[in-house]
Amino acid sequence: MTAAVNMTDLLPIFLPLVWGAILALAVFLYVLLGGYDLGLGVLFPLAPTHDDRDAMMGSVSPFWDGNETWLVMGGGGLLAAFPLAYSVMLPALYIPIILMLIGLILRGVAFEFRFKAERHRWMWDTAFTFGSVLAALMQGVAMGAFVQGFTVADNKFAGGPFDWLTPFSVVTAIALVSGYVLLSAGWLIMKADEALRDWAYGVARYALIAVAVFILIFSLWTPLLHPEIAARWFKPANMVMLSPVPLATAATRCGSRSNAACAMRRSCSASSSSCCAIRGSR
Amino acid sequence: MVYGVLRTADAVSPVPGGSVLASLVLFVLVYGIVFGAGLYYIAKLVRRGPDQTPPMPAAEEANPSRRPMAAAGNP
Repeated sequence: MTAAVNMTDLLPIFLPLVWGAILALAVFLYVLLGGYDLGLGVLFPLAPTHDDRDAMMGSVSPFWDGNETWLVMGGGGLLAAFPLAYSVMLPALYIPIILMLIGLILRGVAFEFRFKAERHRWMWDTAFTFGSVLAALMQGVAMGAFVQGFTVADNKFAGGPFDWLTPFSVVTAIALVSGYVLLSAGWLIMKADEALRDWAYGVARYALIAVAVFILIFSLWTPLLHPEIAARWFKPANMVMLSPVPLATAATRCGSRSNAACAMRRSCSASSSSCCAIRGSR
Repeated sequence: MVYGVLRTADAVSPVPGGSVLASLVLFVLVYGIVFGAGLYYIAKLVRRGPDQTPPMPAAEEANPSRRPMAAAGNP
């Protein structure tokens, strides 16, 4: 009988793609949403006044735990849908992931205690900043190590406990922190007013420059690291297909420089999201 | 893990014991700090005693916060 196509035959092709898309969405949303609240922790000690710090903390306190949920979904989804990848990545990134969790504990608890503390408020301010910076750095390191690849033998991770610590992953970590700071400056431009917003415009300008520089560095470094990526990127047909990504990034970058503050706000969020998209696609 | 089918030796992750020990110590330390801070805060509330003034409805509306511990220190 010539039955068209049996649905169950298609599932092995179809399901991994669907789950890949779900996980990509979860990670993308985490970088976007968790990014701005981690970035706020990085900016926290640099804020001009004490009241500004209260305003910064208040602006994210209703949202931050919701943002972190995307990370839980990413991790849980990876275990459920791609257990083999999970079983390789988690042992390979054991130390950065544990440190990230410690950072997230410290900053999460700081939200609750800081509003109650009087004499010890500085302790929770420190915990918030330290936790945020640690979590952001470890996420960047994990991403850098992931791009570099893991030593796998017999479907198991076969490297050492510190394989993740390389010059590439350290630069990735710093790049991710600057991306988070840019997102967070955009958040403050959207949420804060007057002096704090003006300050955020200034931060956004520097963060945008830093992110642009890092995009350039990784656009050169990644193909050097992986010849197969270089082959894929620089094949003439693919170069035409992929060119909108760097061109759009460059356009928003240039646009933000010449335009007024109002346009800056929009281009800021546009270029940081395209930057995340590039990171996500690697 | 599953008696007679999957032994612990077959199911263990390729993570060195040192890493596991270090993470356990870190978690105990951080939880100790958080737990200690919680105890300190509860003790402070107890020492202060209950607020005797009757609650003002307007004051409650003025605090729209939904943080889990937000109600703990408010009269």
